[in-house]
Order: sequence, then C-alpha cells, then structure tokens
Amino acid sequence: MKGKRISEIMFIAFAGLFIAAVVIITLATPQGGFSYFENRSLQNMPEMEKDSLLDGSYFTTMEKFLTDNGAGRTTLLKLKTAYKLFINIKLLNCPVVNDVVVLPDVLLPFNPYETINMETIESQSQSMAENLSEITDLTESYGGKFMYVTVPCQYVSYESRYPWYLNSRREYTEASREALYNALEGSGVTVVDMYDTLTDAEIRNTVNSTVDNHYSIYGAYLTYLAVMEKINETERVHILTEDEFTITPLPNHYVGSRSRKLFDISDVYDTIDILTPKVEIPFSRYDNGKQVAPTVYSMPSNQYEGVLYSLYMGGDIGETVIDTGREELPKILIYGDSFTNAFESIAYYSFGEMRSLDFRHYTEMTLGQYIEMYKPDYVVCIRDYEQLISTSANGCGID
Amino acid sequence: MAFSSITVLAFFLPAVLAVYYAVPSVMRKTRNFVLFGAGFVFYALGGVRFVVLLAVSIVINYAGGLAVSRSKHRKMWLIFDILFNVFLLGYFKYVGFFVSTLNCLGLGLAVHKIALPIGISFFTFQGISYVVDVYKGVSKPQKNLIDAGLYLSFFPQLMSGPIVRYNMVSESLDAKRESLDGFSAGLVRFLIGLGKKMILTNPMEDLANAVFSKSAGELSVSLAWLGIIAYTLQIYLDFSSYSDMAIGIAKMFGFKFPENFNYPYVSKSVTEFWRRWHITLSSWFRDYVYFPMGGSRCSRGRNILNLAVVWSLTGLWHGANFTFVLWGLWFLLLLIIEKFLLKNILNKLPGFLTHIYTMVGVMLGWVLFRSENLSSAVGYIGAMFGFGNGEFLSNEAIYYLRLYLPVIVISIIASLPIKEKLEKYLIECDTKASRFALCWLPKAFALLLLAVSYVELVTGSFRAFIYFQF
Repeated sequence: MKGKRISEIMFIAFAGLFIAAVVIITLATPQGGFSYFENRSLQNMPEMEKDSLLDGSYFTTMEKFLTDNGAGRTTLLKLKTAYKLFINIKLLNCPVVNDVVVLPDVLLPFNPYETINMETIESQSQSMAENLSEITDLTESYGGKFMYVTVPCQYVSYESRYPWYLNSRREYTEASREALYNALEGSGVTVVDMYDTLTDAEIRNTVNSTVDNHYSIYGAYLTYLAVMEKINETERVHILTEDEFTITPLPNHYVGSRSRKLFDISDVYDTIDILTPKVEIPFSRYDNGKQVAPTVYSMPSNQYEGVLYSLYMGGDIGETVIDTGREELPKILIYGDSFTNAFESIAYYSFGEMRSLDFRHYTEMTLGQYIEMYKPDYVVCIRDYEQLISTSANGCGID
Repeated sequence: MAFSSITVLAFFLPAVLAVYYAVPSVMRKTRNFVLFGAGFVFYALGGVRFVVLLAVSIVINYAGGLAVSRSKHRKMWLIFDILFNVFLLGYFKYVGFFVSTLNCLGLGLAVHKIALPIGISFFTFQGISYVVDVYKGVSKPQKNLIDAGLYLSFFPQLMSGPIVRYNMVSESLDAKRESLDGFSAGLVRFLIGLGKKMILTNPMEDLANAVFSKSAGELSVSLAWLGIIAYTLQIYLDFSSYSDMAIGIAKMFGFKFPENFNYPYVSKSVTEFWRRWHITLSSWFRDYVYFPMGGSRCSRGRNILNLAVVWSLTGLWHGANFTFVLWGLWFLLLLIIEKFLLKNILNKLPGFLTHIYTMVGVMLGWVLFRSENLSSAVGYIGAMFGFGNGEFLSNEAIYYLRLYLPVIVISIIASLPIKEKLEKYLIECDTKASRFALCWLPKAFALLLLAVSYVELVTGSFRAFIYFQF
C-alpha cells in the first residue's frame, strides 16, 4: 500500500513538473519571429478582440501561438526529423521524410500521387500558348524578340532516381511538354528547352543541386549560353565564355530547399558556387525603384553562416534593374519564378541594361504595359517544368 | 477546444486543478462552483457567443427538473422541456438540412447558415435524460442551480460526452469524492487517451484523409481498403481517446463517468458491436426512445418500426446529412437480418468468420459515415470491390502501406483488450515483480506518453476531434 502511495505521489509530481516546465519555458522564450527551417513566420500572440472572442478564433489563434512557441519546439522538430530519418529509411524502407525523398546522394521532392487529365493539360497548354503568342506579337511589334526558356526542375532532372513506387511525375512532365509544343506549333514563339542539357546523366550532379529545387550556377550558365546562342543567331551580342570567368564554391554550408525541410540533418550535402567574371564591369542596381548595393550575390557575413539559393540576386524581388551604363548594348527584360535569379547573376554581363520582374511580387503594371513602356530588345521568360503550362503569376499574358 | 491542445493541457486543466484543490475539501459547494465556472470558461474557449445558449439550457432544464417533480402539470412541463431541447437541437443542427431537402422539391426557400454550437447534441441529450429521469422518479430533482448546472456543463463531458445520466453523478455532487488513488488513476487514463490521440489517431487521420480525398476512379482495390481500415481505426481511436480523457479528468475531480467503449472491434456480430460502441448514446436511445415506443415487446412489424425510428434518429444525431441517415439505416438492416434471420447461423460459424463479417459490415457503414455524399460513398464502395481505377495493388497503396504499417499494427493492438489481459495476468501472478509492474508500469507508460504527446503537439498542427461536430 505504501509503495502504491509513493508511486502515485511520484507520478503526479513528475507529470506536474513536466507541465510546469513546459509553461515556464514557453512563457520565458522569446515569442513570434521567424522559423528559419520552416521558412515561415511564427504566430504572434493574438490581440483580444470582441469578434474573435465571440466566434472562438481568438483561442484558436492562441493555440497556434502556443504550439508555434512551445518550449524546445525547434529542437524537438530536429529530433523528430532525425527519428523519422532513421525509422523511415532503415526500418520501413520508405525514404520519405517531411515530404522529401531522401536518397543516399540526392534529396528530392515527394510528389503527391496524381491522375493525369489530358483534357486539363491540353486546355492549360492552349492558354499558355496563347499568352506566349501575345507576348511574342507585342515584342515583335517594335522589333524586339521574345523567348520562352524552359528548365527542368529537380524532380525532372532526377526522375529516374525515384524509387519505383513513388511518383516521379514522368507522365505529367511528358504530357505537359508534348501538349505545350503541340499548342505552340505554328505560333512563332521561340522556345529554348533545356531539358536534354540539364537532365544529361553525365553532368546532372554538376548542373543541378542535390539539395535544392533549382539548378546550380553551372546549370544557369548553360541556360545563359543557350539563350545567348539563340540571340546570336540574329545579332552579335557578347557571350561570356568559360575563359572569361571563374566559378568558386563558397566555404559556407548550402542549405537547399530540401535540406532545409529536413532541418539540415541529412547526410546529403552540396556546395553553392558563384560565377565571377575575370573582368568586372561596374553597374548600378535598383530593387523596386530603390538603389541598392551593386552586387548580384547576397553574400553571407561569415563563412559559418548557412547559405540559401537566395544568394543569387538576393532572392525573389518584384522588380530589379541592373544598369551597366553601356547604352550601345541591347536591353533585356527577364521575368519568371526563382529560376531567373541564378541566370540573372550571369546575364547582366552581356547587356546594357537588364531588368527583371517577378509577377508573384510585382503588381504595378501588367507585362504588356511594362514591355510597351520599356521596349526591351529581348524579353526572356524562364520557367521550370513544374510551372511549364501554368498561366498563374509569371505564366501571364500581356494583360 | 480539444483536450489535446497546449491551451488545455498546460494552462486550462492545471489552472482548474489548482483552484479546485486550493478550496478546502469540506467546502463542497465552492468546489462545485469552481467546476461549474470552469465549464463555462472551457465552453467559451470555443467561442463566447454560445455561452448564453448553454446558460439558458441549464436554467430551463433545472427549472424543468423542479417542475416535473412538484407541479400539478408535470406531464405538460415534461413535454415542454423535451420540446425545448429538441427545438434547440433542431434549430441549430437541422434547419439548414431540412430547408435544403425541401428545396430539392423545388420550394426555393432561403437557406440561412446557422453556426452549430459545440457539444449541443450532448448537453441537450443530458438535459432530456435528466428531466425524464426526474419525471419517472429515477432521480431526485437537483434543487441547487449550480449543481444542476455542473451536471450539464461539467467540462470533461461537455463537448463530446460520454452522455452521463444524472443518477450516476448525483451522489458525488454532495459527497467527498476525491482521493489520491482516484487522481492518479484519472491522470493515467487521461494521458493514455492523450497518447492515443496524438500518436495513433493523427497518422490514421492523415492516411484516411489522403485516400478519401481521391475520387473513386483514382482508387485501386488495395488503396480503398487501406483507406477504410485507416478510417475505421481513426474513428475508434479518436472517439475512445476523447472518452478516455473525459473519464480520466472526471476521475481527477472525483467523478465516475460511465464507459463509452468496450473494445467494439472484437465483436462477432453487429448486435454485439453496438453493445460495445458509443455505449452511452446507444443506451440513451434505448431508454428514452426505443423502450417508450414499446421496444421489442410488441409485434414483429411494430418492433421493426421502433428499430427504424431509433436507427434513423441515431444516424441523424451524428450529422445533418442523408449519408448519416443511411449509415443508421444500414445498421438497422444488419441488425434486423441478425435478429430475425442470422441469429442461429452466426452462433454456429467459427469466430474468425463472424468477426470478418462484422468488421466488413461495420467498415461499409464507416464508408457511408465518412463520405461527403451518397455518390462518393457508392463510388468508394465500388472501388473496394474492384470498380475504381481497375488496379488491385497501386503504387500509392504500397507507399502508404510502407509508411503507415507500423502505426496500423499498433493501432489494431490498441483496439484490442490486451491491456486488460495483461493486467489480469499480472494480478493472477501475484509475485513481487508483478505487483511492482502493476504499480509502476502504467504510470511510467503514461509519463512517456505525456512526453511524446507534447512533442507531437508542438511539432504537429492542431487537430479537432471528430465527435466535436456532433
């Protein structure tokens, strides 16, 4: 009886101490802020308002605040990820952790299973083709040239690496590619397709990242080369050749979008490189109308800091202007999702002025209005295969 | 607000326990008042706007209890009280459904969206049972408004039951009820429920949601079965874990709640399943609907009619949708077949066959219960029998099986009476080691569950319990 009583007192005391520790640490820890690994803002303490109290949303938000700022949350998330990496890979033989397919040498996205609907794909491709035709017509109306540059994203480059029972999206990739090209037939739209180059197994690990969705600086350079060769079919514009630059890996740890989802505790690592022209050219840079430091790399403050893909051009920005002051050289407008960033950090070198737009952030003008206002010699849209036929944001037409 | 939330686990519950036990145990009424107030605070965590509704329900049922025991017009008061509760439930839960149904006939009535107060299906049923029991003399009326209010708004059972009868708790309202032993046992039960919810239910919910979000044409046979197995486990673990937590918390305050589940998935007939599943609801319908209508002591036709009413209402109670009504009628059909046709055959069949029959019947019912509408349910059942995407084994099913198999196995184990068997074995052993294990193991296990549940709470997203919607 005495032993039972002792066990009961000890049990209640331990449970109470645990809860008390949770409460004290949660309240003592700085609250709100940003979760680096989750790439999102943490919930701040909600403000008490009549409506939110009445409908219960105040306490729902409060619960989110408490879980977001719970004692030891980041450490626990890391421990849980490490546990899942061990259990899922070693015991369950299912290498999917936190929506990342963890292979010995590459981290790939987990693609949800899908049913291919050809009708939808064809209709989307048709809309996309119409948008691209509009932009081509507008650009050519004043003597400019438009190019639609398609680059494989990571799951396309590594589609053969997926375990057989996981979805590599091969079917979707093939279907959307074929449908778009069918829709574009006879439209006069110039397409630069980087599929064959960037999926080549011999150079795949060099031109793609093993820990991030985007291509490496080598992949961006090959894309730049393909675009410049297409431009040089009609006009002579200087191409930055391999003997004119050096590519240097940063000593910093590259935290790719995949490794970030795994709290950077997987065994797969990669480097992030910068391309530096041997002869540098001076330029001014403006982001969203404000002059900023003249650089195309957002360099870390020290070598111990982790680096993200946003190293290139400082990440996604609504509008960026790089003016090299060489008015004799053509002007280029580049728009697209984040694949444009690494490309832009090379492309500015060949043009008098380079402007870039990201319609996920830029809202001041439509693409058509911007082209009419700026009248660039070249308009280049860069999109990855995941967004190949998506007409949202950077898949827009002139309106 | 769910028990499996940081708000309740780390703040609300400890605060209520602290205030409650700070009041000297001789001050019963003050302690009851603390719990009564806590019920309202707990209810307000889900939105303050319906607190008044809860208060009105308490006052009416309290007054109803007094009126049916004293008034000359007892029956009239009884009818009034039942109509009030039915009106409350009907207005908030079923008006939209009935108007939409009438609109199907082309009436073109305006459908006003009415927010559903959490737990209304539970506290209105408790209100009805209280007044009916007082009317029948089963219980004495509660003269103290706070104590009557505490019975109806006691926070462990307020949102999702169990549906407690007044005579089960009436004595505890006045007597000294708390003990170290009870508190410890209650805490163990609460933490086991919390662990069940956080560790087993949530993964099963993820799996079931992933499968049920697909159209029937995308489902292979294996994926459809995997999805319904996951949902079968989810709904049991979810609801029984809530009951565990409710029973556990009540015990920490010295109240004894009735059991709501008795391992329903070991049943060898659907009749047995319903004796083990949501026991407090089944017995409520039996005592307050089925028996007053004549039960089974009547002609076969009348008996079937009585059963049809009960099972239609049972289905409708779970949700204002025809899928729920059909779910109830599906069980009516199985129960009638068992009662009038299969009774002797089932007794002669090997146990594993009757168990398979029961589980298939129950799972088909869960398809109706889980599906958004009838056509989805029919499509899903079709996919279970090969009329989905035509495949038997799909890559997706293999992926989910690899990922979830251990949790499925543990969930199945958690749905079986293994704990009871182990306890019985240890008691029978009666050695020093077995006594030590009986004393320490459940508590150590509960503490481990507390730690793991906390990890799941802060690292996962908040999930609502299924039975909150009822």
